Amino acid sequence: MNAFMATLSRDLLIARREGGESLLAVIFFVLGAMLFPLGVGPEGKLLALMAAGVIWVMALLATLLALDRLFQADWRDGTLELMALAPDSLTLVVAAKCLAHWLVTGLPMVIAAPVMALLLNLPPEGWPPLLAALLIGSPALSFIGAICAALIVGARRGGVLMTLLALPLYIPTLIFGAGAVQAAIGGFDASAHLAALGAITLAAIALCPWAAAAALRQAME
Amino acid sequence: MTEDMSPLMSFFHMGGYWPYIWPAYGVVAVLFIALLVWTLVALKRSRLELEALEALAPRRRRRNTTSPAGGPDDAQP
Amino acid sequence: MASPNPSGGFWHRLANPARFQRLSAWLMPWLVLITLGCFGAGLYYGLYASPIDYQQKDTVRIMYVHVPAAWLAMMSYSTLAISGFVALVWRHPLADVAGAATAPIGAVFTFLALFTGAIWGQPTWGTWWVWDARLTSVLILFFMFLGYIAIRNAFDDQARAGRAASLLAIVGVVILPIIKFSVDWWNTLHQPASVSKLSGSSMDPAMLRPLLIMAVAYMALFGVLLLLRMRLELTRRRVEALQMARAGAATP
Repeated sequence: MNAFMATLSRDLLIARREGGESLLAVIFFVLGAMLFPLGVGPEGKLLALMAAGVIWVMALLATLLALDRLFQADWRDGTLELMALAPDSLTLVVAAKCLAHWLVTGLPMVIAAPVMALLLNLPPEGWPPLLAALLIGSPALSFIGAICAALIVGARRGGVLMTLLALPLYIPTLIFGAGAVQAAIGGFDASAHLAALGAITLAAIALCPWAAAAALRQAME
Repeated sequence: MTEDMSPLMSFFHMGGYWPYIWPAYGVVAVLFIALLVWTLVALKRSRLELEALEALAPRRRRRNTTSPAGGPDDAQP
Repeated sequence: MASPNPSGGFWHRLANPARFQRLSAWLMPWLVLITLGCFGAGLYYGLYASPIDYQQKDTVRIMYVHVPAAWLAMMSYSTLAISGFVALVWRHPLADVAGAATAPIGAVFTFLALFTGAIWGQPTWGTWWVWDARLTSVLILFFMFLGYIAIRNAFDDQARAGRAASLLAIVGVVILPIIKFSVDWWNTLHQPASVSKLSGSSMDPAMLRPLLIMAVAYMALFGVLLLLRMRLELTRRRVEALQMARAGAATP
């Protein structure tokens, strides 16, 4: 447990020191959403139909953007190797890094979501499920993405490759996340979607750190 | 018009759907054959390369021995 | 070659490249025979000696090349995942070779499933692409194959590339049912009430016959291609090993 807290506070400290760089993902998140009205036209009804999907897709892409930082810096300066050699479980360390990543990237996106909903003319029935879905589902994005980040650590042009690897894995989260909002807008019950989303996140938190740690160990063999 | 088609023509005509059926089967055939040919050509080229390299090192023990644990240069694939 | 599995036996003997070459040489003529025979029979029954569908008329014949392609796409990915698992857990050297060999084959089958599915969709539903549950899942699968190929090419160190790809295949196969489930869910929410006609409205036994024959033909072809590509991969690795040894010996 000590390794977990130590890694968590270290990563959060690094993020705070980096300052603006950590917020880049959120800025990209909002900026990207702003591009859609410019692209498809400002007609309210059209935006309202697309809003849930657009917000979720931007959340996916923004998370991927930030995932680069998860392991690369530690890999380059050798810290990752030390973590692997340490007696504490690498899985716990990875879990702590994922949690830190979510706190720095995912949580701000949840906070920025009302702004996005406003810009994209999301109907009022969609706001609570949007916040709930993002809150429940964004950790899944960080944890699942960690596996892909671990797989390509040290590869050349890893960033683009990681996107290709992660996007198929993100699809269930996207479907249930956007589906929850659209269900609520349509007058249906969104709880089934949110429950599925919750299941995905719980499974991700339980399994992904272990898989990512395995990937890191394979990388360091 | 379809009535006075010969049986062969009506086979190719496929009830009017020939522009869908034949391209579909055609692309399948083309891709399978292309994959086969590409593999065979690459295999041939690779084998020639291997023979050339092995000819340059005649004192090296032939790799086609049946011992499961090879020499120090038995690369771990 | 140390291995955690003491009772290797057959598989360990097979790990010897020479033995593998002999086995594949023995197997190949049979596979070629089955391939040619089944394609011949399958094309005969599929294009000629089978009934047309009541609604789809002759276009149902596209099913005989589309559905087996989709099945083989899944089978190829399963092969990737199994070979990945064997490569990581038992370090069987042929497993990594099998994975590298299978990937492009699987990508081709997946592409064919998509392409023939699109052609089938146009006369059936009036549109070249439709976000039907199976086509969408196959499209996602296609990108998973591309990802596997990309990660293999992303590392100079071939051992590292193999391990990363193997792990990716295992992760992928675990998530694949979840993807399939969520896409099915998504599709029933958004599609109008009409049931997907792409599976063939009635499986007349006279239609089942060409379908199954073609499926066997595709599987035999997969076997042929797999063995050929494994030979290719093994040859390439030996070439590379020799080249590296020469380069090593050349430096003073």
